[in-house]
Amino acid sequence: MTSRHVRRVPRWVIAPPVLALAGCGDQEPGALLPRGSVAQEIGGLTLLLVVLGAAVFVLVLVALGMAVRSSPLGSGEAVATARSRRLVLGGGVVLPVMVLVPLTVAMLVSGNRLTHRQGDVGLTIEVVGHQFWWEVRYPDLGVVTANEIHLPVDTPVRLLLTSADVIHSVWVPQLAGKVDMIPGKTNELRFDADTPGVFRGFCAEFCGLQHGRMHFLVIAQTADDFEAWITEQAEPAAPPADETAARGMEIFSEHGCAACHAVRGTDAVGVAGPDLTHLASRRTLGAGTVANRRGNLAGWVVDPQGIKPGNLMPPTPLDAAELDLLLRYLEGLR
Amino acid sequence: MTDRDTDAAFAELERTWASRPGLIGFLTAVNHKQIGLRFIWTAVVFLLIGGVEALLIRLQLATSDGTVLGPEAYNQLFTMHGTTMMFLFGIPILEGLAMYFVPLQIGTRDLPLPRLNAFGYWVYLFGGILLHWSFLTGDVPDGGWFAYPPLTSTEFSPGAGIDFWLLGVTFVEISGIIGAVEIVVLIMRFRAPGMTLSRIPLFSWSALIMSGMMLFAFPFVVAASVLLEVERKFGAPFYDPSLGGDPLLWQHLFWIFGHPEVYILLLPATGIVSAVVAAHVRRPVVAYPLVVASLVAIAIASFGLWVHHMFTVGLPVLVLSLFAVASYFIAVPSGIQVFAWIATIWEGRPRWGTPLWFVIGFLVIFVLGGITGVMVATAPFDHQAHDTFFVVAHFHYVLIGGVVFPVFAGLHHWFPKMTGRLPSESIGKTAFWLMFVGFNVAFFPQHWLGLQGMVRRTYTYPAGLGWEAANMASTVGSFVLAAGVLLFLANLAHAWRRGRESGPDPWGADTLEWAAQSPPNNHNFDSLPVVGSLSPLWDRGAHGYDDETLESIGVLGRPWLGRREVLRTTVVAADPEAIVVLPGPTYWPFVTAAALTSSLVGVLVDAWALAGLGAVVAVAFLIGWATEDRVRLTRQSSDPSGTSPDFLAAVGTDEDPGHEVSGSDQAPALARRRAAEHFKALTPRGHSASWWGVMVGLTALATIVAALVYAYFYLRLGADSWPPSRSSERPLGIPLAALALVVVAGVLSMPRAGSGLARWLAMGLAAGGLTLQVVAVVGSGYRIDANAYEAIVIVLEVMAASLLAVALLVRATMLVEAMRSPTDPEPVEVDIAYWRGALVLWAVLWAVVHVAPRVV
Amino acid sequence: MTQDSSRRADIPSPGWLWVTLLAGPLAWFGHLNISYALVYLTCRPWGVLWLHLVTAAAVATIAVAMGVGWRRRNSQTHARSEMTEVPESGWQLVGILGRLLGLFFLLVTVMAGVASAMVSPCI
Repeated sequence: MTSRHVRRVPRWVIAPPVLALAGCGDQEPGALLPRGSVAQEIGGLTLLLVVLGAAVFVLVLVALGMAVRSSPLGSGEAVATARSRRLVLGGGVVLPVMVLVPLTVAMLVSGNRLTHRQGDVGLTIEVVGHQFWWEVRYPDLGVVTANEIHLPVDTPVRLLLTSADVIHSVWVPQLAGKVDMIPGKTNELRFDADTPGVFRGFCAEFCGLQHGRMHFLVIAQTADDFEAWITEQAEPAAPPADETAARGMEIFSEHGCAACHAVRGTDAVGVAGPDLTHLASRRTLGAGTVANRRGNLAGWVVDPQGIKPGNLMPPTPLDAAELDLLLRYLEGLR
Repeated sequence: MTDRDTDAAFAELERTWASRPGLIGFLTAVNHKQIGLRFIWTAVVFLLIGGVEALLIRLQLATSDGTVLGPEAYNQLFTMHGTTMMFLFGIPILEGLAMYFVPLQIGTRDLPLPRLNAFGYWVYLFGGILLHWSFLTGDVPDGGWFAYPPLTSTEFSPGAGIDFWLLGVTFVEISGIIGAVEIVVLIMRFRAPGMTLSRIPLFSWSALIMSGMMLFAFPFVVAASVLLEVERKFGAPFYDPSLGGDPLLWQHLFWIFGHPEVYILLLPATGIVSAVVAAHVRRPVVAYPLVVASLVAIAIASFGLWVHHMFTVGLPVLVLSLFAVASYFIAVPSGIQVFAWIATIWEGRPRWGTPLWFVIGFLVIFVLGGITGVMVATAPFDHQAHDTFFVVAHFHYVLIGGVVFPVFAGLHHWFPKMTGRLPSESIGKTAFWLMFVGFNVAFFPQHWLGLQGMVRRTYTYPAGLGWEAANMASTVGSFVLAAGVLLFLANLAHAWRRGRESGPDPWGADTLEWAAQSPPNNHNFDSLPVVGSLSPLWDRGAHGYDDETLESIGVLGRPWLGRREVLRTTVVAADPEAIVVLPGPTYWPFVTAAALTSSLVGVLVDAWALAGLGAVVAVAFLIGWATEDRVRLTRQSSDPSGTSPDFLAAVGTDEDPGHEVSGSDQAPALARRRAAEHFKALTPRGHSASWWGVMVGLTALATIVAALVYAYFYLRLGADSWPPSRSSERPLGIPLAALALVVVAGVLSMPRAGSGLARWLAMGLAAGGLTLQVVAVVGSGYRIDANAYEAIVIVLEVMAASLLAVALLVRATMLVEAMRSPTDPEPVEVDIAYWRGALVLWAVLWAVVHVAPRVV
Repeated sequence: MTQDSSRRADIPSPGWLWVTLLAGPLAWFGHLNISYALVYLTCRPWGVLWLHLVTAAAVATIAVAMGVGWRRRNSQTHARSEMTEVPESGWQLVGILGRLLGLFFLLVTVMAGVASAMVSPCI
């Protein structure tokens, strides 16, 4: 959805109460600090729900407090009965109906606004859930990556979601609500980002052992930055820069890495694991588990089960020299 | 009741209704108080187990990158925590309270089908043990209490953990259905004379409605679990999209059960609240008709909300909106109940004891849970909140605030009735405050965590997201809550031995259970009460039945020939209908449950011989059970004269000296005479308790069939062609012949009693039909792992054949039984009732299998 | 002999009471499930009319049942007190439950109809 179709709740309306709710004002990564029109629409609805809910809660507490403090029956049975009836019908029927009927209308209006028109899509991205990582494809742009979704700001994005194994669910709280990835079915999620930035995403549906470490990053960029990123990613892998990296490439194929991983432009065409063509350009390893630094990468290659037990990558037994060569190769995959 | 004659009569009653002593007594007991109490304490044990699991979960999440548990252990523990709390604590403790107190509250002496009740307990116990046995084998279920496939298929969960879960949960659900049948028949047919529908205490109403809901909800999860277990064991692709299945089918079936499940827990808890409020503010709950209507409205509406658990699976916006709107308006009947309690407190004279404090805590927490419920029912908001800690907070507000607090209020309130002793008030209130504060500290921050992005079922979270403080608070709160729970239970345990004696009615409460002794004697009431008011103990003599107090008329005040007698009354007006003789202690429930359990273990470990043997033995035991001499079972007393088997005897006729009405000496002679006239005018009518049990049980059976048919059409609507290939087409010849035979068999059984010969003949025809059906299925060449179509058709055929096979067994057993005691109408009634129901369901399944693929 | 059995003569036909009791819940439940199924079939010009037709039928069913229940109610109690006071007989309670459930499910069905009117089945 684009900003044209969403009447935005101005940020200053949401921000103060939401900041109060958010407490510490931490930047990461909640639904209370929306950075896109969809999350903002839901944020407005959230605010309405919180305010109405709090008002109803206070009303009930006041009634309960008055009931607790009321003096023992002294007003006669008939008065008591009439008062009880007013209380029950007023609190139990009139109050909820007066709150819920407008709320129904607000919800339906919001549901309509959140729904997107066909053809109003700036960018389509296919995301496939795997135990326990995300395969990300840009079908129109010839780019395949993993665990990172790059997109240009202020552009309506459509994610086509499915799963290669069990049910997963895509959720980036600051940008949009979640949508499940279900094997045998393709779901859509449409949203946009209005600010450049890095937003953490989560797998929201329990998907097995490492459900808890199945994160990803959405990287919203200016149009120019995004163009540059796409151009770089669409390239096949850079050839090994030097002799050591070339030796690392051999180790890559000798130790069976290529059975599961693809590096475009080489003989490695495996599909079980993430595409590594531009591995070095990514920010995390293991679907958001650790930062993509040399030490972590080494640890991941040698003992992935130590970092993220239960992920499907087997350990690769390498001596220190071999590991160093392999790392040089992998670090060259920019 | 001073005269010697009545003393002797009461001693005789006490002996008649006694259980046997010792271990034998433990295995054979059927009395509702013993069974109810067992349900309660077993559930409390499971509460402690589930609580420890919860604390371990909170320890792991207390810090970022926690290392208390690994991901495997964490997933196992949250699965078992949810399963234990929902299936092994929540339902059983509420059923246990209902089994214990509803018969007392509605003025009868036992549940109408006591053996079935005992069976239900053993099934529950064995199912719970089976589930936890997995901790010993190491195959602990780890698919979540919702067990979504394909994660729970053999491909992604190859171990036995999910099998433990599916079989254990199914077993426990069957126990729940059994208890539900029992309670429905009890409340519909065994209320004290004069307790019309408008005089049923609210707790009993809620128990009735809970049980009615269970009959329609539990069969869906039983059906879903059986399909998944068949998928795991035999490769049937019900949930496998590559062969025509659909993982969403599970979610629909599970939540058609799962949403009502929440209200199955909540409604009886609100019934407890009503009972506690009335007794402790010394005033009946106001707006009785509105409150009853609210219970019924919530119960019915809860069956139309299930999709709100599936807001993120990719359904059209309008579908979400329809279910969101329905979910919203549950707030109206809930609000009516909340304000009815507030108004009652307002107009009453509260006694601020522990039970009332728990009610206040319940109101505060539950209202907040209801408000967040409206929030998550708002589909767009739910897209953010779904599967996060916001939802975790929401349903713990509803389930701990809405169920655990009322249950604890009820335990404290009814403890004196169960033990004759009063728990300490000061310790009780301390426990309340610990629980109330601990609960809110534990769960309130989770709302915020959820909106900050913390998803459910995550075993850890990285540092730097700003979640540490809230999680630590939550963990600390959970330990405070646990301390409160332990203190509460310790208070009860201490009072059980050392508490102050309470006397029969320490609270001055309004309902009939407080007219019995504390603890009640074996037969509950020396003579069955007669009721003329919603608050019989407050309106003694005011608007009493026939203007008399409830003690003054001695209904069934003297046992006749040592039989366990209760009074059956009509549904709406509670007019006496007949005297029913209930069975006494027996081994059959225990051994049958044991045989079934061994069969289940056989399935679990792929020992099919054991599974088959266990099933055959269980069926044999069931036949033994059905043909047991119910009259002889009740021969506990020393009365040597009892021999007559006709146990639907008229009340108070001249030939029946035991039934003459005896009253206390103080009772006005007029009342005695009136009562005598009343019961003399009574001729036995209506159906037996067993007939009602069969009819209510058939409701559950029909719901299982409905769930399977739903699955069939759900798969059909998702398929491009149906059947998926020409090879699945079957000729109609033999199935038509089978149908013809079964229809004729049904017609032959139409006359109400049916002659013996016609029923034998019908049996033969039905057996022929069954044979033809089996021949047709075997001849079809269908393979269960071929595709979803063939798999679901095989399941429907097996279901139909089982219904018919059981009908044949029932008929054979009952025909023999009828020859043994020709004057007893019960075997004939039971036979005809089940026979009709089974044949109709068989025909429905036949139509789905053979007509549906040709038409739609 | 009991208060109820003597009063039963006043009730025209208990069968009607059960009808009024069940009409609201069944009409609502039918409306919800049929609308759910229709959502997939009505995304075409004028298709939405089917949804409104189903809503109208459900609302009419509940209204008729409530009308019948109201006309046949045999209580002298004021309608307002009826909701809050314990009725004399069980049959009266059945009648009151029927009217209250009818009102509730009428409200929910109408609001679901509002949803069908405001949200397109095509999205």
